[in-house]
Amino acid sequence: MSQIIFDPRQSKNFAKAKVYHNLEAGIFQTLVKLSYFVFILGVFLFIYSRFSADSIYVKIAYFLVGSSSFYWFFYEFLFEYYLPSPVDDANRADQLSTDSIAIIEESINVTLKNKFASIEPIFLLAGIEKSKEGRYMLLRAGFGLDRDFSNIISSEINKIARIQVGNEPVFSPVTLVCIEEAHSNAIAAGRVEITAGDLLIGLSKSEFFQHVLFELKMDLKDLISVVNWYSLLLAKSKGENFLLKDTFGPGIGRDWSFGYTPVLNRFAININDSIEFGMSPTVYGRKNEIDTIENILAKSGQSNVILIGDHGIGKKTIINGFVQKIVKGEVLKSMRFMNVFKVDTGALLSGVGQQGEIEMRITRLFNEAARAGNIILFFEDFHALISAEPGVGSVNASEIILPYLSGGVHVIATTTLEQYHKSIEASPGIAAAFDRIEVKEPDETEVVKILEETVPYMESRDGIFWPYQSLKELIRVSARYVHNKPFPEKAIELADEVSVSAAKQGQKVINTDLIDSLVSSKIDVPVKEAEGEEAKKLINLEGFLHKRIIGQDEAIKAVASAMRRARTGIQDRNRPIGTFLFLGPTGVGKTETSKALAEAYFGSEKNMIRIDMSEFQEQSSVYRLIGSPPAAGKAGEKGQLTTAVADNPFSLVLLDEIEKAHKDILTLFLQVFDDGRLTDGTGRTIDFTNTIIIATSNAGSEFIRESLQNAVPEEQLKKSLLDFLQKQGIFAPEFLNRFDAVVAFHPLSREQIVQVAQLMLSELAKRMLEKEITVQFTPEAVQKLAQAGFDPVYGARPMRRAIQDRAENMIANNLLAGKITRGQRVLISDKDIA
Amino acid sequence: MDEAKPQGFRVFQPNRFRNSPVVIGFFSWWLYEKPAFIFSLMLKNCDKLLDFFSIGILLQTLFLPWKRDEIDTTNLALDDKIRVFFMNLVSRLVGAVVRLFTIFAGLIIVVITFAFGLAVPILFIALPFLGIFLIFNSIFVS
Repeated sequence: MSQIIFDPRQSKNFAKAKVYHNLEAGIFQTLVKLSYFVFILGVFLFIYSRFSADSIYVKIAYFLVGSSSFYWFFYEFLFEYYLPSPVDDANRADQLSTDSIAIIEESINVTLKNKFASIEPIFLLAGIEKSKEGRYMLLRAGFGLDRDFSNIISSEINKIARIQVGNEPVFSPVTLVCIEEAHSNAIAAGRVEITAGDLLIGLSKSEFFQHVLFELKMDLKDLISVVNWYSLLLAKSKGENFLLKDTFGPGIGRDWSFGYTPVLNRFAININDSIEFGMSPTVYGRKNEIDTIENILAKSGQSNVILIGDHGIGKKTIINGFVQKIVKGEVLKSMRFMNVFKVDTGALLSGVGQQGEIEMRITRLFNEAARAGNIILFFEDFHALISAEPGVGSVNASEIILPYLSGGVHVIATTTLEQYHKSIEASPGIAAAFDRIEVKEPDETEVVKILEETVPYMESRDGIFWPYQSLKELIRVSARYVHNKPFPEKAIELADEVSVSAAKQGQKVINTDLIDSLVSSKIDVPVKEAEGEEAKKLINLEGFLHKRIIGQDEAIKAVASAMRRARTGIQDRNRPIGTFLFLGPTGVGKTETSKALAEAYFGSEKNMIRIDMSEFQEQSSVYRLIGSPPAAGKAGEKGQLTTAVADNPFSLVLLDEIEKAHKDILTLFLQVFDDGRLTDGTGRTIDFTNTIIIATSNAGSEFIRESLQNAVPEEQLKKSLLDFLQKQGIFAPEFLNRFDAVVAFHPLSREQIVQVAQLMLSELAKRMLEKEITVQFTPEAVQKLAQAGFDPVYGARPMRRAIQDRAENMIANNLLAGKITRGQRVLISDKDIA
Repeated sequence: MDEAKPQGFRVFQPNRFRNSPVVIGFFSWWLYEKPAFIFSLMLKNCDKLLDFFSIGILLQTLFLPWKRDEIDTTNLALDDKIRVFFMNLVSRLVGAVVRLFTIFAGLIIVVITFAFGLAVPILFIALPFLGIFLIFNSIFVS
């Protein structure tokens, strides 16, 4: 085997590419189009010449037809035979595409221009940037969007040490490695030549380009996706040649060999027609599910399929995708002439006058479908037709339908998993007649591919440009922060919203900031990775929380650490942001810490859902917490917790006095702490992954107090406290172990009580300053208030009341009496306070 | 990366003679490869047309009633049965006529396409001669 080289000078392809570039291929293609007209003109002239005595017409006709024929042959020869020919397997230069040859030539030129002796990867990048397709891919990768290409490249060139000046530059070893990598990539992708995209991927072997990718927040996988995305768009833009397509469509046999459908036309919608008339959106992805439906329905005999999945997960989309395949004629032969009718169950079951009319309608519908011979019936929410407990909007037609399912008619049905278990499995015959397909959300890789197909439409519609990073960010934020819809719908909708918003703002390039700010403004939570001011705030979070909380260093440290983990993306995504159990006596700052955290993380104290768990002491009260299913035609009860979290998924949930709740209710929270979700009474899954959950309890207060009096070290206190709670049977070990941190709040010392009083008085002073009155308190006054506001049982809880009664009332009375006026400075001493 | 296809004029067509001397390679392309490719393309399109005109399914359902519109004769009186029988017969005849017409139309188009498929490769081989002949005639023959 000959040794692999890369030598453009010995490449026949390079020589040919020069011919190609010199000839200007575009002109040749334009000339071909022109030659069609010349040929037709020649033929007309020839016909005309038959009626004319003048021989000049026939001569011109001969010339026009002859020259266009000759040109066609020459064109075919040049572009189909002469130019495309990988010649030498051992010389990689022979395996370059014409555009790649231009890139290599350009990189040689740039090297010469910069007076370098060797062609380094940066020069290869300069060459790629000069080519149309290379530039496009670089822009998609976000390269050159914020700075001009030439600036980046020239600054990089300046960084390289110039070895010597030469007229015949050679390829540096690193560049050769890059080209070899490009070749490997082309082979792996099944390409017969090295394209600009392959060269770009090959560049990732150089340290310099790895650094560029790192700066762009891209990796090799992303770069390959960008290159594939370009290939996909290019293939789409060229369209499919009519003669090369696999089929001309479903064929006219569909209409001329099968039956009339008057009953179906009344109670159902022909989805084939909606798709042919462009009334249904194009379906992307979901190939596996669509193929499975096709294979099941193509079976002879009993062949029905039921799609099971939550509402909005894309069951109808899959069926539309299947019908699109039928309409394009891309299905198996036995499926080619099929018409899919979506039965309007509401219309079928309504407006009934006589007993048994529904049954008659259903029988006629199925009879007609069986007679027509090419009908697939699609029932959305199939459970309504075979409900075990028929009520309003539902019947039990399983006995009527069952005979048809065994081979007479094809049926596609959809339902939810819950209804499948409840209604369909209740009729074993019906359940056995269907093949099940469980519809799941597509994963993020699949969503990227779907977006790659949908985003170009938005780009042309709104005149914008989506770099690959923005696509990734879009998927990240929609996965993390949009929970009311499944993928890919939520990503497509968000992309649409972002595109429109960018177009309105006159922004041409969609950057990640725009996506983040749009989502942040919708949900009132920062979605961008913490940086700048916010990062500083996070680092100093303890300080921020201590502005409101006196003492309790351990608690503050635990919650601050959890928040840092959450905002830097280190924590497990499938759990709540943080789960804490705050233990300690009343009035030591447990609730205040929760409020401060809600303000710090979610921007406002209002984003706190407070549930008094003492209201849930009975086992039956669980329904008030998570809701109850509808029963006997009545709507179900709403759950206090589940409804609040569903409405405000970005909240701090404060479970006050958790020890008072029934044990079974505590068990419910195990799933929330572990998986970040809870199924409510109606079967809806509520997402808790964006919540901080804090449970508070007074249990063990006395134990904490005694331990501290005995100077038990902090770590030992925590351990013995947990033992105490378990031994007393207050909390089960599996419950306690689920918390990120169990924090013991200490009783406040005399000094801390004074600090609390100072904190509250400074708040009062701040409020007075708004009225342009400066209020100050003497240390004795603060001491007196601290003493009045402290209670051995309730800690600092009476403090606010004491300040209100003694300080605020006094100031108010003096204000009304005119003793305190605007602009005045007031010093309040212990004597002023009652 | 399976969706990535070679683009533009660089479509690679396997050529046994690609690495042979230029003359042999050229003649093999002109006289064999390209005409064979055009012919195979035309054959493929004939197949697609047969499919489009649904000749197979039309033959299978040739004598079925038009739009499968047939009246059931069970429980009918004898004279009604006879009347309905003739109506059903008419429906079948209409179906057969329409389908036969479609089958013939389809077959004619397929035959024309096939003939075209034979003619075009021959024309391609003749293209350079034809061009030279016509240009020569236009200039030198009076």
